[in-house]
Amino acid sequence: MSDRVDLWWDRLGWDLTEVILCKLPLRSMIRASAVCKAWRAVLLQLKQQHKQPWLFVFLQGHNNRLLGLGVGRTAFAYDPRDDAESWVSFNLPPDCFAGSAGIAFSLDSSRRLSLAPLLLVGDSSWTTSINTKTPPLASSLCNCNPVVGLVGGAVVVVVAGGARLVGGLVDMNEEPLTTEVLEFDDDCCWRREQCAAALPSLSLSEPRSSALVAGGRLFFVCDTSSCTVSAFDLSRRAWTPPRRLRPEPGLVAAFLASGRGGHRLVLTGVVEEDHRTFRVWDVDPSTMTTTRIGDMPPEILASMMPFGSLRCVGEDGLLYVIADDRHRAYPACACELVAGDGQYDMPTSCTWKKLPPLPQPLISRFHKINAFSSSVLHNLPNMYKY
Amino acid sequence: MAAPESGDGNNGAARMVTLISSDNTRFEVEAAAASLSQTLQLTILDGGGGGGDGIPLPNVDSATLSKVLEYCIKHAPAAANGGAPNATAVDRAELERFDNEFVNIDQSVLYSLIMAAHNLEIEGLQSLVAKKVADMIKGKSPMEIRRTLGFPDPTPEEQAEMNAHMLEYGWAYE
Repeated sequence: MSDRVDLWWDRLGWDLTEVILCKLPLRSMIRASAVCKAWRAVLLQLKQQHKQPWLFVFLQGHNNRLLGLGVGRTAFAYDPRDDAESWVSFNLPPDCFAGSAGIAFSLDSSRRLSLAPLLLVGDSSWTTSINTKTPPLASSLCNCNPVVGLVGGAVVVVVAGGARLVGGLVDMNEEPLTTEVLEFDDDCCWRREQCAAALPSLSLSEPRSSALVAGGRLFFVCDTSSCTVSAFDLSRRAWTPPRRLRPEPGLVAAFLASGRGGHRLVLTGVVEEDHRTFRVWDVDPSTMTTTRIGDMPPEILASMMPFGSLRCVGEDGLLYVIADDRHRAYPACACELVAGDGQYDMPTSCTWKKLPPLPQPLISRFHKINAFSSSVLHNLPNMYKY
Repeated sequence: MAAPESGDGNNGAARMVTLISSDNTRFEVEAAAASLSQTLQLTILDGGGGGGDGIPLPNVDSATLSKVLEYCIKHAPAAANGGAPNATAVDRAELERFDNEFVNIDQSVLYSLIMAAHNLEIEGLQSLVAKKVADMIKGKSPMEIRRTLGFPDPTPEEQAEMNAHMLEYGWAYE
């Protein structure tokens, strides 16, 4: 339309280009990196991590066993910053069962945990710069979806979980959580450390949720059905005594996530009172005292069915609730905690938003839905520089 | 001069400073508004810009400077309150409405504004214009972005790179 040859948006200079491009949601950022060399250079240097967690959704075998098919699967990811566009479909690495801090975790048939960048953003030569496969894990960890936490910076992976298999089925007898810590050491090798197991009352039942708080020192695991919580203290390499976190007697399914900045915990769950609701509490990680924050609004609640299938994942004060109902294309919503003016990081309310439907419903009666939340690293190599 | 007016205790009338654009137009504004610029704030704290001298801004023309000052004058009261913890929701909504309308302008003006905001270190204005430009880029393909922002036509090599990128990051182009 107009001739703007006097305008040189491509010559804004490094600083201003960065100021503009870092305001884009990830997908637009990636497209912008193809606009010109100057923009690409800026975007590759962006240190900013997409901090707000995305929701990742994929299908998994019904009995919780890892599929072991060795093939990548289509998964869907939801970017909370992208208001215009909603779900992204992409290929999850083969046998991926969990994700955290921008990394997808998979277990191969030789029980080695492999790490791969989620969404493959940034420099894909990353995979050659780090040994992405750990030594084999204890066999009990590999039969059931273990909970995995990744502590950035030092690259410490905590794996906890496990179950015995009885005739190919998971043995539901309560058994302590096998725990291993994998640390990427200065010689670029993985050091595997078996740690004391969690106490038996933290049972194996699924699903379980987890949250990293206190600068990544405390890795909380919450058993959904018993509402039992225990934390693995990375500095002591030991679990804290399990305790029941049941602020209200009607709480029948509990999930744990980290609050904004990773200082506090967020407890969510299905409450059966005279009517059913989905409630959110703030939890002080040192005293485990709970404060009620809010309930899911009735209009969203009505679409989140069946109630028994609800799962909640999240971190950094942003939570996602998803229902395992293939007939309704897996309804999901997001809940963002809002901090009050007073005490820092202490949330006082929350806002809810229904997520758009999945673009192409994953319909399979032989699978159940699995979900995790994770931040997305824009430029992976930064994380692995020492 | 030994710090003539420090603090808020300046008897009634607000302190004024004079700014001089690259094309020699003089603008008289309250010191509080001009101080939204980190660059100017230092000069003003040193007592500059008062009286007859004025502060020359050789990188900013008068059209851009008047627009910059329009922003500063509107935002000065909130900034003086230190991020306005006691601002009412109405005040905040009003500022937001102002901001939205303020950047609803021609690209060439946006470009001059962000350059000026960068030179004068006006954080809020820089961020506001950057957000507007980001909104213009959002959701577009690389080619559409180039067209929107008036980049020259891509060379065949650049075109090939764009195509390869699209194949590699298919999910980002959905």
